[in-house]
Amino acid sequence: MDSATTPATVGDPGWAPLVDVSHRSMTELVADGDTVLARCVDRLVRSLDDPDGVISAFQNYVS
Amino acid sequence: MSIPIAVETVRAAQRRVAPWPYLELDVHQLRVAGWRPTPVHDLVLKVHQRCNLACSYCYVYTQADQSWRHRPAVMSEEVWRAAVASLGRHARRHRLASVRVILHGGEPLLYGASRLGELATELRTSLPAECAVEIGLQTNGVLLDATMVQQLRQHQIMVGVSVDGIAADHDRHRVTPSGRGSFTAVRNALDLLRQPENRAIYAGVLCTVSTDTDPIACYEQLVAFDPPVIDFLLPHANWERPPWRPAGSVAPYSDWLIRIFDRWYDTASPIHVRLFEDIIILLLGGDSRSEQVGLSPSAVVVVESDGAIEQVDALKSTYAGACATGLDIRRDELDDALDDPGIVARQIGRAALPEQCLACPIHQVCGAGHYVHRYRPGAGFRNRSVYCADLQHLITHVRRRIAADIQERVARAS
Repeated sequence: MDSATTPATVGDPGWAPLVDVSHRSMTELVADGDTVLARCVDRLVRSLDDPDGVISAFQNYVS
Repeated sequence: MSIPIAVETVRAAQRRVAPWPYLELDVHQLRVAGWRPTPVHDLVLKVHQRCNLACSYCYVYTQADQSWRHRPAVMSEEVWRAAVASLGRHARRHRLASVRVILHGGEPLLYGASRLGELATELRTSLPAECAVEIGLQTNGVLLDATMVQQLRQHQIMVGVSVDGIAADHDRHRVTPSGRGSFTAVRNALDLLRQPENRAIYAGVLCTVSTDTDPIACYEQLVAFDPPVIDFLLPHANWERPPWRPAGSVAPYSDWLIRIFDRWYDTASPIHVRLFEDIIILLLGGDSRSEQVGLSPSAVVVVESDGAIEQVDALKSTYAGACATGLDIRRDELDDALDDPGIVARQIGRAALPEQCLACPIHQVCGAGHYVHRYRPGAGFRNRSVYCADLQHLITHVRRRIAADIQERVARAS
């Protein structure tokens, strides 16, 4: 068995960007404390360093 | 490579009922094209096949697959030791940084604290030191008394609890075989888990969506239990057995969830809600950790009480034998399961979706929903979700809310 791979998403039909924030710093946009959005951005950034990649977990257990 | 007779027999049966993936998905060709499976990360052990509750919607006992009747009530030591050893080999072979073992049922606490503890100790001993292991269980809470909690804490076994909101709603569905509601027992269990000394093993709560209840009352009740995380599950349904919908209602499940989403989103520092956070992260361009949305590969394998290696047990809601792979944990490796077309189908992302979904701009977020909700007799699983309208409605609403939020932040920062 070889190492894990995640299906490629290159070439996917586009999902229009939500809002163009490319000229903004991340910290500027999520600097207002523990909001849902700030929390999700934080999790997203952390997931980029996950050596196993993001996988879908067993639904009938929550942690 | 020859396929063992037991496996081929199962696949032949699967091909008749679910042509996609069992007939039409060419796993060999995927491999030739460079695709490689994602190793197992979540191993679900069905340590006890029976339950002390008789919930009206339970996918194990009340739906298409009745295989629980023919399996041992209790997982033998031989089977769980084989599962632990197999997981150890799998972790070493793939150099896994972490795995999760979920003790499940039926009701896993019927297995007894002593046996659960022995299993947990063996797991931690057998897995390579560099592989972190989380051990958890999902319980109905009825047997979760102070002694049980203390023993689970001692063995660092995380505890998720299933609870369906307020007492009246919970007790309509989650009842004993004699019809008595279980809310009081569950509330007592959750009160124990909330104690500071027990919080480290409090994993969270699962709630099944019931559209004829008050969503805000449900949410507030769940919040009162102070869990680290909440998740809302859509009741298992498919194109043969669609979800119940009130007359004239197009997307009642999303209507229900949106009421909660708005309350949750407008709260400062709210409790984590897995489904909502996964949708937001998908909308932001990330990946989901949930089976309900997104296109992340599923890395879950189940070991039944008789040693059978199976697919996710929610498939029991589709047809008899839907979970089967023909493999046995005492004879076969977990890697063998990664060749099963049903397991492969859940690891290939967009390639598992029908043209209708690929033409929809939401598909990268919804991912066609939970795999089992796509089942259609005679065709299999390459269909849109039976909850398609609900998913579209919910995701569009979440998108609108976070777009407005981001725009406001941009304006403030300008």
